[in-house]
Amino acid sequence: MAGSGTAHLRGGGALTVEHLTVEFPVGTSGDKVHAVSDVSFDLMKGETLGVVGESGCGKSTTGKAIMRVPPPTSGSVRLGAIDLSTLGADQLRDVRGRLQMIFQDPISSLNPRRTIRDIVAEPLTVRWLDGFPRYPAAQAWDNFTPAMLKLWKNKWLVLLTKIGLGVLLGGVLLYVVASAVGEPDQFGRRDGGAGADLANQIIRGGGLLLAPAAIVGIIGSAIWLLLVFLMIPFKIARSVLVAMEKKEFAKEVDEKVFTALEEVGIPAQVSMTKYPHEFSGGQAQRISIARALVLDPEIIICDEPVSALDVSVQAQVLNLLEDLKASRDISLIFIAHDLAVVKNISDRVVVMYLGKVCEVGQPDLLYSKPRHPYTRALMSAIPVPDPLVDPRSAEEIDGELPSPIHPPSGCRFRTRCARATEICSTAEPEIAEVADGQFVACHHPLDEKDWHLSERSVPVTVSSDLDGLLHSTTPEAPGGVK
Amino acid sequence: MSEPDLVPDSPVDRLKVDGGNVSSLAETSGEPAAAASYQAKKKGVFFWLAIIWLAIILICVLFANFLPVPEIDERVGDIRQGPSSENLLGTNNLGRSVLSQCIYGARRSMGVAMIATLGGTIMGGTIGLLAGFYRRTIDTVLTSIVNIMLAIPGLVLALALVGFFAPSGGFEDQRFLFFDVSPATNATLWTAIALAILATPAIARVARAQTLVWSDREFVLASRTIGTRNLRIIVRDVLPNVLPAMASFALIGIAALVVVEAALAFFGVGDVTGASWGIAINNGRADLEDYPHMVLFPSLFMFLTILSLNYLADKFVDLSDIREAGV
Amino acid sequence: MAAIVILIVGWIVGIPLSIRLGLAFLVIVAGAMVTNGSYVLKRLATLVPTLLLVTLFTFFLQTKRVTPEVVAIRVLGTGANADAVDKFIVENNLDAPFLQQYLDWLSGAVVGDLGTSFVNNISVSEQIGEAIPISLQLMVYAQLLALVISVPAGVYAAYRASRRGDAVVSTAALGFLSIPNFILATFLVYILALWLDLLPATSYVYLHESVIDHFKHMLLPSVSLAMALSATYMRLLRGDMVSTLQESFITTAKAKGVSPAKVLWGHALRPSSFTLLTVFAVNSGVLIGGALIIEIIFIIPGMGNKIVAAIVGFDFLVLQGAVVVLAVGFVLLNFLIDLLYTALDPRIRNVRA
Ligand SMILES: Nc1ncnc2c1ncn2[C@@H]1O[C@H](COP(=O)(O)OP(=O)(O)OP(=O)(O)O)[C@@H](O)[C@H]1O
Ligand code: SF4
Ligand SMILES: [Mg+2]
Repeated sequence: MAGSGTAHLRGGGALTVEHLTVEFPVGTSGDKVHAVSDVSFDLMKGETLGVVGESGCGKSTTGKAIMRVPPPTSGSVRLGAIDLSTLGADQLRDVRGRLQMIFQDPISSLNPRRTIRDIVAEPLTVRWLDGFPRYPAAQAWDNFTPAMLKLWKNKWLVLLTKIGLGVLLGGVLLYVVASAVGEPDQFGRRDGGAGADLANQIIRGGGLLLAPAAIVGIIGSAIWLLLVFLMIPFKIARSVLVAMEKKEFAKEVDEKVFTALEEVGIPAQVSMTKYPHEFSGGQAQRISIARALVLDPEIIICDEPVSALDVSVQAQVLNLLEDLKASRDISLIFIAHDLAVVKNISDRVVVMYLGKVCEVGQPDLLYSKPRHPYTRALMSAIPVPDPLVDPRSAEEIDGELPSPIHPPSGCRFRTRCARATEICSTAEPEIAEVADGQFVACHHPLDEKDWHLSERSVPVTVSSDLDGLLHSTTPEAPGGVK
Repeated sequence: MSEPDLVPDSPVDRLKVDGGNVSSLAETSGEPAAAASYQAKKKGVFFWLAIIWLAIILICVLFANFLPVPEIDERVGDIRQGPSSENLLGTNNLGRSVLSQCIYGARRSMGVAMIATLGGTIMGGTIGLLAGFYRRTIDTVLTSIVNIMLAIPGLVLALALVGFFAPSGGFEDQRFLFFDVSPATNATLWTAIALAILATPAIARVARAQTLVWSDREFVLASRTIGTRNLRIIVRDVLPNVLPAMASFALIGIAALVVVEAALAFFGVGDVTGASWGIAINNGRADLEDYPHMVLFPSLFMFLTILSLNYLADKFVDLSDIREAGV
Repeated sequence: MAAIVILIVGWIVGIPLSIRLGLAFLVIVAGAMVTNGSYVLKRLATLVPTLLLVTLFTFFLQTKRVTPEVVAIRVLGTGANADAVDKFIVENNLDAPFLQQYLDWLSGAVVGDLGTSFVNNISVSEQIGEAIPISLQLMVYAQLLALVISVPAGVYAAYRASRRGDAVVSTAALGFLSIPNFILATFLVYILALWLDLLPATSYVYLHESVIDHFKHMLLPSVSLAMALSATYMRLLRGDMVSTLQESFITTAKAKGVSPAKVLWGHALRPSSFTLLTVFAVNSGVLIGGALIIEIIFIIPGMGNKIVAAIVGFDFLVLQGAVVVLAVGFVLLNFLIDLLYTALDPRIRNVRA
């Protein structure tokens, strides 16, 4: 699987993600986790786009990269026509309101030390505070800091400094060795002779090499210190200003928070002053949704918003999202590893594997006519309440998810794919349209006879633990997956 | 810290679980319910005793001159008198009231320790927060600074700083930075600075470890996605969660620094002319055999204070793996 | 192990302590190198700058604060005339640039020459060389004593977790943790030495003079130093052990009918002692400080008294030498312990490798 390409992009989407790549450095050896590699998809206005794949395939990372927390290693994310990567910090802050994200773990999404009111009001508060004029010192700080950091990270300066330090250290060692072997005179001074003289020169040279870094460092720190001192009076004045207008603002915000909480089904009257630990997971997730809503976003990325919740609560939260989507005209990206959930609410589904896109299409098409071997495996993991189905015929994927640090060459799925051939290890499959509105990245896509084989070949257990299913061996009897 | 934070099994308990503090987790999770209630009963009494004692000490620190005790250098009777009705804790080798020595000593010992801990908490907290929050280069740089500070054993560092900068009985005109000050003031100031420097790396470690944990939480990501500035995230989201661990460590920090402050008196560095618990104990040692009260009472003051601080710190977070980072 | 053999054999053969320690150090580093080369190299690379910075810092403290004139007058007496002062300064190289002075001093230091005291004209290294073994003895005794007390106490407290026995031991531990060692020392002296006259109150007897007297003299200092340490260790061990005892392999062992003693000592102790090991190591900083004070109280001629004498006598070269030796020893010790720890704990090895 694991394809690149943009054949499935439709153009004119509310959100377009192209060639998105996220890598995390690991250790000091220069290895990287290839969490997301060249992923593209788009989201139309009013659409719900499902993103599925087993645990660790990079779904959350994709969502976060779109939100730029952290920004992707490469690739573009366009909100309408705006390319987010080209925006400065301030512009980005303005745009953020249009794009919101709900995180996987509802409890950890809320700061345990702030009240619900403060949490939900935070987006508004931040914007309100931004409305106050930035004072000159802060402005200078904002401009100066990145420039300075850039200078400090300058390749040549760093190299020069490293060489300088090395030379200095070498000189010191030489001096010490040269002098140490010399005999002390009557006052205990040791004469290092020629070696020490040479070492003195070397040390001087090292000092010279270090001089630029020292100058930059000293001047930079001095300016920073100055700015900090300059900022203090401004900061105080600003705080006074903020304090004066705070009351009025608070009243206004209280109203908005109240409506937002009511909208997501949290009894606002009694909840505003409470702390997150007083709420259940489902309620916490609703509060997260309320926080995302107060900015009136166009797009919400939901990262497994229900996977941490009880099944009964799951349905409620899903319904809430559906309702909000309809009433507020929001587009959704819905991340899940539970296909059953995605299938019901998505207009289009992207299947991911190990940081790559495998297949894109309508959920029922993917379900009934999967083209990608990995999609079929995922689909067959959806429980079917039919006692006649023989679970032993269930599709299985052997082996472990390969390490994202050293992903397989060619098609990333090849290590676990029954159809893999020579070409799969050498060439990466490009994404291509195989049927109307169905795109797949595979050298040997499935066709009709394969669907026939796989149809209904599904174990009966109700389990959303996709991971377990993927790794399980043949079940002994109907009704259970070990 | 606000009062609610001091109540056990408030968020601090959750923090134990979140902070990845393995041994504290073990201590709380493993105990049977019956035992918990046994401890809860005990907790009440000692908890309040500790609070009351510390309150008394705090009053001594703040209002020593208003208390109805003799002046610190007032000769109240014969020298080396045992406890009596007019001199509750007896008199010392100069005929001064031992009670006054203890009370004014609290001002010096605790005052210096508390100011130093505050300074260390501010410096260490800032370092730890910045290192833990920004990571990468900033973390590497700050962590290596902290490691170098930790490379010299605490008491030795204090000795070196105070010994070199404020040699006792030294030169007449001593300067503290740019100011001419009396040797005693100079020594006290340098002691406070040395102690603050001692506390800094330990607190920085605690703060950094906690910040690493908390700034990975999704509410921090959430704050970013709504466009909150880093400084506000640090102050609003990270700091309040890191503070309980830091505060309870600061208690231990005070306890440790009180000991170091007293130890310095044993070495004869710092201001050895004023009144502090360490000085009182050290002076009394010469007459230990015949007049133990001169050592006993300041020691008792010190012991009870340290015990209270340790006990309270224990009650907040079990700091088993933080303690050793201390002095 | 080889390192310990070197230490002991060297002691018997009579090689100077510094060389014994150096050899043992090299053996440990070499051993660690074999098992985990890249990590050792990395740590060595940070070790050298750390040592340089530590020495530079102490040197800086001294020279910046104490002007050449002050040193000269201190040594020559207040009545010294200006010429004598100038001569002294030039002879002792006190007017050279700071860095030059540092490098000269460092050159001597690496071959064990820390200069000569201005005050009594005795070599600093010699003075410290006499004091250090005594301080080391005290620290080793204290650590051993602390372990001997804390391990049984910790195991017992964990075994009786949250019952009366545990409460007693844990409360006692909190108490001992809160007694500063110099206070404990003072009162031990008062009760056991002055009052009951069981043990000597002060001074030191060399091991080779009289083994019995040596330990008699060292008992009180070691106990004073060990109590707070053992309280720390005991609390750690108890905490870890309580959680180990919850683990399933313990339950299994119990179910199989293994006796409680065997479960505690045979099964649970080892996995519970990792934190203890680390802290045992980190504590050396606390231990050094403690030993210094204890020496003063018991008038043991170790580093503590050397430092006091140097401070009182304005013998800055000795003070600096002592600080450097202690700091460097501490850094090297931590380095060694890190290596040992990686050898013991495969997790660190794998993560860092
Ligand atoms: N900050 C990080 N540093 C290093 N690696 C990371 C980081 N964040 C994620 N990863 C790695 O990137 C890969 C993708 O992680 P991600 O959280 O996106 O998976 P996911 O699809 O959301 O899984 P799940 O269903 O479990 O949430 C994983 O291998 C993960 O270990
Ligand atoms: S058939 Fe080849 S390209 Fe298609 S999924 Fe399998 S390994 Fe990948
Ligand atoms: Mg995820």
